[in-house]
Amino acid sequence: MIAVTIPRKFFTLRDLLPFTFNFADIEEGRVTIKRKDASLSDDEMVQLTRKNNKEFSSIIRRYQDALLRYITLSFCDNHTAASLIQEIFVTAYVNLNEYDGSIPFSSWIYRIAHKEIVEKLKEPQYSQEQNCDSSHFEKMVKGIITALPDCEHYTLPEIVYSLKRLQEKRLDIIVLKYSEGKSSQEISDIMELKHEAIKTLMLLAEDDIHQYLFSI
Amino acid sequence: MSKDILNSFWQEIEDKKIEQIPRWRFNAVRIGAWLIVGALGILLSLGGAIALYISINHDYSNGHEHSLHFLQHYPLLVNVLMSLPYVWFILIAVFFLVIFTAVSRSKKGYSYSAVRVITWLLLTTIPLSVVFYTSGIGRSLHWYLTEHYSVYFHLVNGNEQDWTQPENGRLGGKVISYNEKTHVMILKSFHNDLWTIDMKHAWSDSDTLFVPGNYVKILGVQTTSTGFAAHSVHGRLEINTGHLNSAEGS
Repeated sequence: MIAVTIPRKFFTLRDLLPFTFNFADIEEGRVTIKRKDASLSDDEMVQLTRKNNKEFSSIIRRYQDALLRYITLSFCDNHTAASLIQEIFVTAYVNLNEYDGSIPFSSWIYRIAHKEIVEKLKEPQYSQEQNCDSSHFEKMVKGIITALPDCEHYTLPEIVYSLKRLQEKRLDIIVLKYSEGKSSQEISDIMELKHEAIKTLMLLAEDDIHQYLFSI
Repeated sequence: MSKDILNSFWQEIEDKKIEQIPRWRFNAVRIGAWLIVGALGILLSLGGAIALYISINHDYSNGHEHSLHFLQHYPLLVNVLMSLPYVWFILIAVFFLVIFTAVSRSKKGYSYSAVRVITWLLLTTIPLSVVFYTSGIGRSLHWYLTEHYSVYFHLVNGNEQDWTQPENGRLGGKVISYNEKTHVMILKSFHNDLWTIDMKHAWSDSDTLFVPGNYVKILGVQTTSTGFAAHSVHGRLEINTGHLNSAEGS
């Protein structure tokens, strides 16, 4: 093991690079170059954005896929999803200074997304049931089958149909848990509901799914 | 898609000249909201201090049996029940409810349990009420409100109401003047009426009570519409009910 003292100047230079690498990897003969924001925590990215607005791009890059997936479970057409994600990021950008670290940043940005989705669903053109492709729900259904083994005897469209019959809040909780992998505490922060309420709604939602599937 | 989202995002920010809301505005709203809750908490504690003052310093010596017949065999209980400052109890409950609702509906309210909010409220307001009571703030406020607001005077069941019954031989108020030669006292009642008190046959706990500006409670007989013959004179803060009752009997 060779101990190398790297001058402070070099660190400063490395800080300016848009990518990161590990010295230990170089010693072992392999170099993995990552985008710098991939190694930063959410809170560090927020701090950077507060210093330089343009750093908000890192936040967009980190959350766009997850939020897009979350949105498409409520709005199936890509055009609506694209315009909604734009609105979500603009709202997050404008209100970024409101984030105080009392909840995880991911919960904070999902909360914005949740509110935007709820507001959008109030518009008349979206209040009707949408004919989504079942494939949108595939990942979530896999999660549900893992957690609720009784459901594995049913087809994807059947499970999706049982999900569509759920009340809005209960469906939201199922989506956040099984599609986004959020814990009940995170769901509580996102939906701004008491932790106990989330647990109860979760049980009710799972019970609704069971009941519908068993009645087929 | 990734690049599209980034490009269209920055395009919109640039086109609409969208700017971030500065941090101080969020802090101002947050601090403002907590200041309002704090102010309500202080009002609640002041209400508690006044309620404590009225409850503790009440003479509980008047007969109220007429309105609670079913409790006629428990005169002390009737007196206590009739003398409690219910208006303040209602106001305290309202303040409590407002603070509870404000905290529960705040941005982080969903994460606080009702038990936690209520415990926190009780733990802060009860000691504060006791501090306001022991420091005399509760008493001063009650006296001020009684003197300056007749609505308050009529609403609150304090000693002042009990001692504004000249027809029943009870009169209290502020000494305006006292003539030692003629033994006549001019008294401004708790209801702000001027009374001429004949003190010839009166005895008192202390002569210093007759100094103008002092508050006194007088047992005696009403002689005219603004005249009163005193039998005994007591200080406003005295709560020796046995003593008062014996004086009343004599």
